[in-house]
Amino acid sequence: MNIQFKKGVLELCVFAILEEGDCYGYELVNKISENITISEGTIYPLLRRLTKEGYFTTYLVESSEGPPRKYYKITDEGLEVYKNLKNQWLSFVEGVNHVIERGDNLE
Amino acid sequence: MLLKEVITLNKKEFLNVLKKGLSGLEKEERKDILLDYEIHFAEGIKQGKSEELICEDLGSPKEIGKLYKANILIDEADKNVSTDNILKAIMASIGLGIFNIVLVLGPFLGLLGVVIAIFATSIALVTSGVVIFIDSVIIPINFLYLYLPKYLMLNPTISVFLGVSLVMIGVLIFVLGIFLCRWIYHLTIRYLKFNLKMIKGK
Repeated sequence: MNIQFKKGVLELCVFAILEEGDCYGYELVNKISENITISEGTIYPLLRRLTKEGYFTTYLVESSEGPPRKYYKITDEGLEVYKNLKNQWLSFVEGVNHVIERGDNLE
Repeated sequence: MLLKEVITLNKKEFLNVLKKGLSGLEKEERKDILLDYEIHFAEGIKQGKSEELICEDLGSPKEIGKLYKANILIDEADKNVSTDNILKAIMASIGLGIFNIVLVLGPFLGLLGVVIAIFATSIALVTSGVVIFIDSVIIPINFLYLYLPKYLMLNPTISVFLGVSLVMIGVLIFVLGIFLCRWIYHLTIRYLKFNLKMIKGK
């Protein structure tokens, strides 16, 4: 996939996953990398930025084995931003599909 | 992908490179960031992944460090307005890739040129206004006689009026310049944020 696309879409994916429910870092990274090839390490800077901007909050949960897990939770503000981003994305994809399909019909 | 990234790292090497890349950030913040990756390694190892494989999936620690730094410096420039901060933020953004030199530095230098031109204009207007004013009011026998059109010199009222108007227009343009500066500052930050979001994937 085009590299310039990915970065912007990554943000949308993080929002989408956290809208379904709280996640800890490793779990979230896995959910994304299962579907999209990406340098996993770039997801943490994104999480930190969006948390700082007030779209997510974090809390620690002790794990029976290993280190405590840092969970991310989407805020109301974050939900608002997600709704907006999602709509923009959907209408963009719809538009692109229209153009592509028209191109196919002409062949 | 860069050739040097083919060298496989282990956990210790990865964290060391990242730590170096985060130098200059606040100690607490650096510790916090490194902890995120330490936990990531611990989780991965628990799932049976090798340190080397985890490193490979994470990507270049050098690039990750740059990403954090650019993020944090842009944030800093946004909160504390200063020339130093915005320059640091721009440099960090440029550090993210060669491509960014054109995308970041180009527009910024263009706007900088406009600002300098505006301030130069306002200073020139104020200076000439003051000179004309002094010349026509304080020193009646003027030394600028040769340089100004004769009809202005014949009527001191017009000279005074011209001097004062030039100063006023100059000051007005200066104030507009300051507003423009602030606007450009915030625009630059928004642009850097956008740039950070869109450029660079894997």
